[in-house]
Amino acid sequence: MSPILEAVDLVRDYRLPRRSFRHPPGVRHALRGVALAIGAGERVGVVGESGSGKTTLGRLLVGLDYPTAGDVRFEGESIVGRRERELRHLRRGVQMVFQDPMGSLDPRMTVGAIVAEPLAGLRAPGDHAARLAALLDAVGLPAGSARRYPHQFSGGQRQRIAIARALAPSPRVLIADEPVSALDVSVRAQVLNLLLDLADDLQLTVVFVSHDLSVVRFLCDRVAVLYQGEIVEQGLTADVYERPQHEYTRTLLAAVPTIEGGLPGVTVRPASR
Amino acid sequence: MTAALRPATALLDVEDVRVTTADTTIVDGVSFALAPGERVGLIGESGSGKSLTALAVMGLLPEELRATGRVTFDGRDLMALSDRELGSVRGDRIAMVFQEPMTALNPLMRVGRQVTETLSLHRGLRRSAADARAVELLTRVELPDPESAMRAYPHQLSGGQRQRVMLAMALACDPAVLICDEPTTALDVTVQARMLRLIDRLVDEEGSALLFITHDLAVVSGLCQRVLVMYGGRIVESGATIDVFASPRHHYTAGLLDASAATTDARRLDERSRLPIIPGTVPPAGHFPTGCVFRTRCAHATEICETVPVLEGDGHDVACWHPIGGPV
Repeated sequence: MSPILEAVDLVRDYRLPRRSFRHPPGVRHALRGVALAIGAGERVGVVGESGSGKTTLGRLLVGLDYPTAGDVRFEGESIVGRRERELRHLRRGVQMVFQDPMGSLDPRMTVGAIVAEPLAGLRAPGDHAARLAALLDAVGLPAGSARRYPHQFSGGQRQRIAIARALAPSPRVLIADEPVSALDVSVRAQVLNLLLDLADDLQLTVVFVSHDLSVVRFLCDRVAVLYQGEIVEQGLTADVYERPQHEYTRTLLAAVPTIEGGLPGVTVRPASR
Repeated sequence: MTAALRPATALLDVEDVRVTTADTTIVDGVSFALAPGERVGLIGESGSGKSLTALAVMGLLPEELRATGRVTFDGRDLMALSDRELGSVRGDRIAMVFQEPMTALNPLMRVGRQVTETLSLHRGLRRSAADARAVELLTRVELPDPESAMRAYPHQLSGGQRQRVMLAMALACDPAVLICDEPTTALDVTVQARMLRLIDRLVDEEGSALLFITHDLAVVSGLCQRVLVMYGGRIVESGATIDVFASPRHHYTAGLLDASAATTDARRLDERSRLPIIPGTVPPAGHFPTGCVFRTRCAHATEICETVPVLEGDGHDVACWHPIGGPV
């Protein structure tokens, strides 16, 4: 089966600010040759800590940034170096949900305008008003939300708005960059369940970028561990979590606090050592 | 208030603390005590009032908020002290580590100066003695190359390093009580693990009592002997960590535990392999229902829940009319 979205030896370097007239500016290697093939209908987790390049990878996969070298292919076609109007296919097919809904939703637009904007922008066929109502219903927002503004909603609801907007053009792939890390524990579960329900109902391919290993474990069939711009390990979620091969994966897994892991020693000595 | 929550030798005794704005109550009648060397976790989501409770204890509430109640530390009522008297206790006997080191540290001041400030203020140390002690402190918090860290500005350090500087400042005067407000929330997991080990070891070495505020139940379970669960400005459950986590009595605590543990424990998932959820959302601070603050999200709520339940029990206390496992 050919992958729906594929990163081929992706390299992304960023120039650092120049610090001296005598020396050339430094370079930050955000990605150092990342290869990742995502099959249709798969749910793939990309885990890594800050600075690992996971957000850069996400941005490259949706075509919000361009690679220094390597290629990104959507449905077999390269999206690198194309003009924006040639990318309409990609813009409809791959959508993104960001971490901070307050930063990604325009505070001066109504929820209805926000969610319908991709429909108008991409000149999607059909009845936009009906589509809007269906979307708001699908993400579990109360009727009448369309006329209200983002600040009138709670954090979890705002993330639902962001998900509705991403789903508006009926994408095949949804890339979610830390979509629940800003949410309260009791609300996080609701949004994760929603993502799973939608992925099932709409047969979405999901790329889930996160630092939270337990969330990735719950949500994803396959996982890639990113460390300093390289994938150090990838495989089926169960395999990677139960038999990590790479030293860094082991460190990462050992660092995750668990309720059970902490409990036994707690009345005498903390179990964390 | 039960005897178990009031150790005979309470070092810090918080009684019926309320934090109010002009028209709303945000923290409502919070009481707890901390014995010398004891470690207590204060768990809550945003809007639960956990941070405001800590700020009220420290006398650091923003101006528009008012606190009432009693905070007794070492026999003195902190709330009755003047700003000047309070200033001599704060940072010396009671110290605090905040969530955001980038806002808590002064960006225009070198790290060394920020650490020695506490030492010269509370200990009257001279420059050279304070510098030597600061290097020692930065070494203890495992900062690489402490001498050059002394000369660095906060922005030149990583998030984890900045948080360790905060910890060094807090421990500068060997405080009897260390309050940590979400000290690892903004950190990566491996950095968080290191910071937690460090807090664990240093608190142990100093013999300080610890009040650890967090929304992350897993973090508390490895660090604290006792936990207080806050929701809607009230403590809804408290007790030994092992009791509260193994057999929660409040439906909110149980819901939180399910939602947090299910991502790693497939047995807690429902038949469609979805996470167990607490319905609804956390209301904004000051907009919780009357009576039991959780009743609008609780599947077990009845008419009686419109009356405020009292926090009671035999050391594992719960404020609920229909607690899990039968009446108190």
